[in-house]
Amino acid sequence: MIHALDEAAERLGLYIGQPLANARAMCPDLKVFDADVAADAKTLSDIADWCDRFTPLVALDVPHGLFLDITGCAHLFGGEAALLRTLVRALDRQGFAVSAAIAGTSVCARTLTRQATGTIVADGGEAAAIDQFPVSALGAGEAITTGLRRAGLKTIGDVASRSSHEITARFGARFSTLLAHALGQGDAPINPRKPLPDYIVEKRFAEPIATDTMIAMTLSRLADTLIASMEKQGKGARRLEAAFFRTDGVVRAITVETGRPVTRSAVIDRLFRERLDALADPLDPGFGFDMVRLSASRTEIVVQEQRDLDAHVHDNDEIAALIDRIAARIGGKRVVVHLPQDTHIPERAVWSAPAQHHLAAAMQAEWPVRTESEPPLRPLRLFDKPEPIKVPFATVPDGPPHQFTWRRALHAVVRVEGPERIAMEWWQQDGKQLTRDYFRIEDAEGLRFWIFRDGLYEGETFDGEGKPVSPNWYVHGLFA
Amino acid sequence: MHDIVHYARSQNILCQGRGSAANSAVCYVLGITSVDPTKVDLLFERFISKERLEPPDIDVDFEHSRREEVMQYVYRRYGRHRAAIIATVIHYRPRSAIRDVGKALGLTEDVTAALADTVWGSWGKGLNDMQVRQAGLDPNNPMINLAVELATELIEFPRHLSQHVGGYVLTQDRLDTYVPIGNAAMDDRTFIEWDKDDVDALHMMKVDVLALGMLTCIRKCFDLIDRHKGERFVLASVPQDDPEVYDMLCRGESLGVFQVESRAQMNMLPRLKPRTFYDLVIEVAIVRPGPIQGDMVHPYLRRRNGLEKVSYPSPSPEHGDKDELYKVLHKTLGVPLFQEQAMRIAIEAAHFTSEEANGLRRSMATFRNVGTIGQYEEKLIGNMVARGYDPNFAKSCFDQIKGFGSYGFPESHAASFAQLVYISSWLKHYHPDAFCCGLLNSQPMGFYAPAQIVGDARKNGVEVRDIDVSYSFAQNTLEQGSGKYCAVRLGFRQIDGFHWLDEDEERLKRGQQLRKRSVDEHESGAHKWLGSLPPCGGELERGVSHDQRPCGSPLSLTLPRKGGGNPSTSRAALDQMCIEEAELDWADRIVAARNRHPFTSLEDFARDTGLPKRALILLADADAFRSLGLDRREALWQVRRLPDDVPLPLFEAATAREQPDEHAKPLPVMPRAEQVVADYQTIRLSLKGHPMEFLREMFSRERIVACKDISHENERRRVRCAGVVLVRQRPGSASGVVFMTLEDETGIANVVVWPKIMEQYRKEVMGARLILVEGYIQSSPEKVTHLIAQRMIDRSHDLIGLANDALGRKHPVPAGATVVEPLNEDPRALADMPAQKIRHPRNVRILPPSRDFH
Amino acid sequence: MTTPAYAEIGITTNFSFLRGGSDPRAYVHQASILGIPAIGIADHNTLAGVVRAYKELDNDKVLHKPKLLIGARIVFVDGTPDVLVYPRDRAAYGRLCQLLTRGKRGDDITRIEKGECHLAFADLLEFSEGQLLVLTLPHRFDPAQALDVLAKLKGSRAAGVWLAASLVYRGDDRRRLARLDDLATTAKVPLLATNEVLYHHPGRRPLQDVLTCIREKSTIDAIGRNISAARSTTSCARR
Repeated sequence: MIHALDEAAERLGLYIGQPLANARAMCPDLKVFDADVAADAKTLSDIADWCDRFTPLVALDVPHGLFLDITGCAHLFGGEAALLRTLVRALDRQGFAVSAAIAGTSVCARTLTRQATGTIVADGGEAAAIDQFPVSALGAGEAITTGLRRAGLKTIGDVASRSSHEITARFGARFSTLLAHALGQGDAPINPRKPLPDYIVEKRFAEPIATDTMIAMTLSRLADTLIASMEKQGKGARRLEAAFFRTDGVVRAITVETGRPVTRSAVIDRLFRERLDALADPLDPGFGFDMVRLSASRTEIVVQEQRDLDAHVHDNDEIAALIDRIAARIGGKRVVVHLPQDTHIPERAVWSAPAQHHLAAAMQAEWPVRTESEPPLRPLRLFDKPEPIKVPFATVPDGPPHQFTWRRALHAVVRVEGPERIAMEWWQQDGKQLTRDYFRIEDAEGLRFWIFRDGLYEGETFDGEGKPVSPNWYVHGLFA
Repeated sequence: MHDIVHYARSQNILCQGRGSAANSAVCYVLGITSVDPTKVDLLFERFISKERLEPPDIDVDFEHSRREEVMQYVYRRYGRHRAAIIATVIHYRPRSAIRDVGKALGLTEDVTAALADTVWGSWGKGLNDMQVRQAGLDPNNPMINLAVELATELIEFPRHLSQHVGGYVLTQDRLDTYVPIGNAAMDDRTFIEWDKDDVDALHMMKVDVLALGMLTCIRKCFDLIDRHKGERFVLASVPQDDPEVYDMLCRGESLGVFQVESRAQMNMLPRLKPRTFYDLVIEVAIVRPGPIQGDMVHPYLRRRNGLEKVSYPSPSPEHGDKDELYKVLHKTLGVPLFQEQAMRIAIEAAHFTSEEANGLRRSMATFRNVGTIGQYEEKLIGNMVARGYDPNFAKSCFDQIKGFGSYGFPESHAASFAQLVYISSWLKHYHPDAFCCGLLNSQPMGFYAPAQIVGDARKNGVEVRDIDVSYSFAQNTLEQGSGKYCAVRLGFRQIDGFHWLDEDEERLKRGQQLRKRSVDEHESGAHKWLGSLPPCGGELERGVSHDQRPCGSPLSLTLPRKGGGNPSTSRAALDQMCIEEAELDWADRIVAARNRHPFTSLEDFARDTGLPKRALILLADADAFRSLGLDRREALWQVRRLPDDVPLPLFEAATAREQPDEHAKPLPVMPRAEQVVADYQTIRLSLKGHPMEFLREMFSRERIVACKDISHENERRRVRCAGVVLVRQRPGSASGVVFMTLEDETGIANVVVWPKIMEQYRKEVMGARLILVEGYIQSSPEKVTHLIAQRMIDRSHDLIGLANDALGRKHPVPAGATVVEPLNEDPRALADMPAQKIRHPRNVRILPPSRDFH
Repeated sequence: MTTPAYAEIGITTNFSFLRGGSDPRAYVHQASILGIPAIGIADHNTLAGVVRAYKELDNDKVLHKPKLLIGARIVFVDGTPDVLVYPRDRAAYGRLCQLLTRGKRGDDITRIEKGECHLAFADLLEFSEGQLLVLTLPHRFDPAQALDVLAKLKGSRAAGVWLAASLVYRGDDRRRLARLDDLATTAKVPLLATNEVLYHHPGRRPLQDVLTCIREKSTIDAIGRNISAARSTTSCARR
């Protein structure tokens, strides 16, 4: 089913809700993309982020709309008209088609966007502005819209001309309220996307800043102001966010969380400096930032710290600290923990993961339990790569070798168990893999090997000309 | 079989045998079929054949809506230990296969859905690269490839067993010693583990209790004629060979008639000019993929109309009787049209043994994937050519047999169907009122929408009246008419979303409940428990007077007393069920209420019927309150004002309160065009007019002609014609030609779109509801007229604009009927398929949406 | 190729829905190609696929027609390991049908849902007369329970009782076979070699794995570990 379409598709007569097969029958070369509601929501949310520059009170009007409460902000951007122009142009440049309008109530503004983008309605002018719009512009849903049209009330003005109890009795109080709001009588509060941070400080620049020093200096100053205002109320920050608004619309928000409430601007300073240094993709100022905002989105009342008496709780901390210290010297990738993997492929059954990131997981990992009274079926450690062995002769079709040569030494097989047949994961992308038959082997000297034949006889292994050849043998590990 | 048919007759259920067995003298005498075998000179081989050594198949069609009664009878009569339904093996189809495999491989839902969506139905064998590409996916992606590969392997795998629609096996001794029997999903049904082919292979006795919607329709017509005209007909008593009936068919007027109402059949009728029953047999069989693929149709028509000499291919003289095929083919003027004839050719001309011929038939029809067809082809053509037949004739014989494999239509079968063709034509001609009513009451069925059925009846002089709360019933009914015929009163069932109970379903449910109760009583050995039941609530009390009520009178309920169980619990449950069902039957509540006293106002109506508000809105929107002096708009305005549904105890109080007068100014009057469009939106037809008539003035200015002007008198003229798209069809046999049927207020026009034009105007052909076609008129010698399309323009927006652009997205006319064949298989579409450029649609999305207005 | 004297018993076809990876007819063809003298179809509580296999013997392309043994694998709801049931004669076949009918229809008290089959070990004993019974044991089994089952089967009116011995390729086949041998000796029943075949050709393994996923409503990545080793008639034919 068609979920959304562009103007070109719409001109072709396709419509939302149309079965795809029908649409394809009309235009076989239709370009179709899977609807990705999550990505759409993300995009809307990204745009909302960007709109944060105009006002911190940005609300989502899903699926395709945004509400901005610009009460008291417009003057910062040169008035309402200028703000609207700036916003629309910038989004337009970013490739979005926008309709936007400003009105005294959110519902009225939304109604305007559906019919007359770019309109600015002065307080009290709402009713007149939307009078001639079709009722569907109210977005009241199919049932009500059809009901009104069937009654011959085709424009918002038609509906408004009926007495409100007439409308309420038939279409419900919710619709009456919606209508009233659209007409500028009262307003529904918008639901800002983010709660207004507890503390917020920002700095705008006439000339965009780009250098690290300037950024650091700005942050320091903002931190001072922030701390000062928090201090008055005995608060410390647990979560801090620095938002960098680039001139071209990109917003980069960097968040720092702390274990304990921060009360000193020096600490904020250092935290952000470390964070900025460690960024995988460093802050890119582009043509510069025209605004930096620092906010404390989570704060706590500062209390005197108590040392925990139960030392065990901190064991992990100490291991973690040790790991950190070692990692600092030899590199994080070299300090590993082992994690079991849910696969029957021997070499993939264990995963060595960087210890810094997977310590907790390793502590809780569940390893397969060995069956009591059964010998181990696999060696504790496997070779990094199975090593080829020479097998002059083995029992066909799935028997073990009688002797084999490994690292130039000949081993006579005296005891065997197997095979354990392990079929490879054919659905993995890395080439066609063969079925392996594993044997546990003991040689005359009591050495025990885990060997396998790579591939079944006749059917899996071929030479360059496609003739079947005997499969190869490998030793994959040694038993203790 | 006679026993089953006898039962059906006793219950006034229409039935008719089909297939070879049914059209035998024995079956005629037993009354299983009403086709007189002496008239059709049928081959007997397939009924009793030496090589099959098996009991004959007897297939009998019963009324679609009452077949279940017959099926339950079979169980009762023969016992579950001797009778059971055969299974149908549900196989993986391309769509289900790709969906399941995709899920197993961890592909996301949307990828899997996209792949599944590329399959247009279930006739494809697998997915090809183009289909994958059409889904917007890369066929070279290994994971997709793997999924497609595995899905292809999975297609045809059995997924589960289901019950066959109506095939029974009957055995003399215990059936469960032949094959395991299991429960079906439906209560009261048991079925075996083997399917039709298995049962065939083992030569078990099989009886097909099939369902035919047309029989239901015919029975309803007979009932209506009986009730309103006082004449009782049965299938066998309909006067035979009536020339007026054939006259009507020769004019191609077959809308609603069984089997011959499709566009292709309608075109064929004037060319074939049926005058006798056997002509109808041919008519039924000829417009089928078999004869069409074998290119048998045109030669037959030419010969029939005397344009070609009738001749019979014969072998070289040294190879035997030169008239060997005359015997087989003389009835059809030397052109093989029936499955039996194809088989006979294999036997006579290619010297197949009967066994081989049967094997040939089976290799086509069943076990298709084994691929034994090739060896038969070689043998058939080889033998025929060796015996001196024209290789082209041999080849076309084989092609025809191949066609029969999948769409077999034996002569005997065609004869059974022809009988129903005749009877439904007879009804249409002599009782168009009852026929229209019966057809509407049997929907969904056939090719045409209610609007066309009603339009056709009105054209034939039947008055059709609007739905009205004071006169209508759930079903469409007949009323005293002013002219020659009764008038048809449209019923509440025409309103989309309106609740009503079907008589046939109710009868069945009642029967089952009664039987279950008596079984329970029998088992528990309890004596009948006659309680003085309190009424089940207001609704039921009213229902007592009405004998159609499923619960009947509560006082006559007999209830089991199980063990020491408390009968009141089960009674409570039953009461609950009664109430729920009563609430469901809105139509019945209206009828019951108006039997007490006529409605005087809308508020009075709402109070008396106690219908939920949703029902009232539907009625008002269907313009059913005219008898109360309210048109659609006023009624809707009043209905919306009524209080929302409240729980029962409060109901009286809530409605008792009179609503204050509003003294409001009147609503604007609803223009007729809007009324018509609203009619289409609510009941899919309008008696007030046709949407097109409101556009006529504008179209006339554009020199667009009406559909009725597309006639043979204007042969070869270039015209522009516009109409609502009724049907689009691309018969598999017509090599890419698309047929469209347009309708306007004057009639219908048939448009032919050649592939090249189709390619150019695909969007219009597939998408338009109202289309403007420019082209020239072409008619056949039999005066079958087509408009050959050269240019097409989508004018749907005019239609939407009709009602002051204020009708929302719901289109004033439903989208043109189903496309019968896939239209996206054209390989040419592949060549210019652009490379996939993955550009996320959000980059081109309009924000916020403004799609409401265009 | 010399014809090995081996009958492939206990074949699962795709009429054991979402368990078997090959059509009954494919087995007939494969048996013909490999020259296996007899195959025994045994689907999970069903005889649904047997007619197709039987019919396929008429196909001219089946040059070497294997003897077809009709039977079913009885899967119990009470935890008893599966038993393969092959009726010896027509009467016993009727009893097998009745047994399955009971499992599918239930009795007067409980109605079994469509597609399900509820059988307890006692049901099998009731209909065991004239049946050839083969007990199959899972990779790990409880010898005491197995002995008990075997004793009860021997005590029934069955025409013969075997213990299935198959390789499961989990690395401990020798030990397991030895245990099975012990068990058979103690219970005084002969061992019967089977492969418990799931598909007719090794190329079908991916499809088989996918079927398992569909059945378990899982994905191949999640289920990887649980998919056991390959079994097919090709590997068995030469053993």
